[in-house]
Amino acid sequence: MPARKRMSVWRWLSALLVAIVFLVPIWSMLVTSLANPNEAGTGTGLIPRTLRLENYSEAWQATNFSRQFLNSLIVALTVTAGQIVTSLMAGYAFARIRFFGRDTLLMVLLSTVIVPFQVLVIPVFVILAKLSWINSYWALIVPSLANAFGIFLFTQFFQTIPYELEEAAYVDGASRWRVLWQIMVPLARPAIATLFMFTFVAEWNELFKPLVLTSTNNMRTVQLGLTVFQEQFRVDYVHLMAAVVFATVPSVVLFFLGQKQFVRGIATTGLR
Amino acid sequence: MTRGHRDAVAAYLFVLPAGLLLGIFVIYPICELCYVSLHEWNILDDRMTYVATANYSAIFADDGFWQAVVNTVTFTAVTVPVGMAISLALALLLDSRLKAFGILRTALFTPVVTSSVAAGIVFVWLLNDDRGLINGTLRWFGVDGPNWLQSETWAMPAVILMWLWKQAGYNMVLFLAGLQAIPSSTYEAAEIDGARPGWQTFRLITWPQLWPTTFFVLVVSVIFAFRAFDQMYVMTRGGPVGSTTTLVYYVFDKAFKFGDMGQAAAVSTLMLAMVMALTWMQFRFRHREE
Repeated sequence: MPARKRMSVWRWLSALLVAIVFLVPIWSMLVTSLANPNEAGTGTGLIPRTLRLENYSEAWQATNFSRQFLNSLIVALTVTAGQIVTSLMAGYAFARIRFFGRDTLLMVLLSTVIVPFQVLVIPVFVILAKLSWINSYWALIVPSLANAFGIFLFTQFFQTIPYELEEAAYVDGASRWRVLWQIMVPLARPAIATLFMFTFVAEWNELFKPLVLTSTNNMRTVQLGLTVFQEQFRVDYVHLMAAVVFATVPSVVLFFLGQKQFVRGIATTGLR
Repeated sequence: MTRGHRDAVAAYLFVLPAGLLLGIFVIYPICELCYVSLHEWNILDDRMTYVATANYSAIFADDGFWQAVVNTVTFTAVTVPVGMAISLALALLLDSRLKAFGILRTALFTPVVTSSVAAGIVFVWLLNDDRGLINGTLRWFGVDGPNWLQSETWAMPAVILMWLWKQAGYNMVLFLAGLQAIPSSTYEAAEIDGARPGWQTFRLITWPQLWPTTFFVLVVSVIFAFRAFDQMYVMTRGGPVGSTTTLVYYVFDKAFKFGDMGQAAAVSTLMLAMVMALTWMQFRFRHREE
């Protein structure tokens, strides 16, 4: 539209201004995390005066962060891998095989997406307690190994792949299992990348689940550890911000690496 | 076995892991939740006593519950429309193929991938009474800002502010996808018919064509706002004096601070019913549209 060209200077300026406003909290976090702990009380922390990298190592050593990082990595990676596998299998069956009760089953499984974990926390807690899984990796991992979002994503994706690609394999006598892993999975790489990013970021950022399902220091994940750190270092904003920075880095880096998949995933499915 | 039978068996086996997990950890818990809500049960106790609807009456008689309802409704009623307006404005502003605009979009989306714990702690710092950036800026304009998170009046607006910052990029992406789905020929046709670009085009073309997206964003935003918890846990611990205790927070306190699983389950059951009613309404509405 030609009119847009005339507007462009104003549009440019307002877009830039908005982006700056949105980045101020992140900028302030970085500047504060590098400030000198003694003089953090002065100024509001937008102009960097010092670049004190020791804040990071001090914050890291002040508590059990290496164990918490390990816990978060174990949980996030296992859950992500598990969700990819269960979703690939179910998505393939729903998209490609005709079987009795398929549509009903798909609808029931997909409808679980509307039920937030926060609402089911009590019965899930009861089940996990009966299994003696509270305060273990099992509690943090197993209930999250399947998710309606992933099933939806792969069912949709496999429906767009032409049948011809599989047919030759069936003529050669390949089983459904082999076709799934040798033909369909390599084709599904973009969808797998999308699900990987979504699930990893969601799990890495999760607070409610570890808050309710763990009780000891050595089972805490990064986000939960951060809230405990916050209680201990209430007024020491310099070290607090340093801890916030390294707890944020993994998901933000992953997002920058795979922005396209991330944004496409939201745009096509809208949940999470 | 015929090919068809073998296929069906394979299909059931493929669906089994996901089906079993969702069955055990989502579908069965729904029944268990209703069951627990009809019993008196303390978390430290092994025994459950059937009390019919006593948990529900106890909750309805609790001022704390009604405060949580009011807080949840307030939070939703503010964050949903305001957040949607911000995101739509951002999407309209940044809907461009220019590379630089892509970078700006990334900047706006970054808060979405930071954890609510991290974002919450950063905002606690920004909202600090005398050293924080927000009150510092207000002072610069001659305004004496409140002690946000310690104030019963200002704690909720502060949490809302943080939520708006964190969620804006998410809905923006949904709106951008909706905008890009509107064919440019529609705009060209309107221009030929004499529609002036700007407000008139927006009102006559963009807004009606965008409606399915807007409706979808509305539903997603309501569901997100309804289950808000992390922000309050990090920024205010539900306080001061319960002024930011939402329903999820109320359930959390009841169950894991006071150990009253029965009453907590009753509140959860009501919330579940509400989520289901919302979804059902959305379905009905969609059907009518088509």
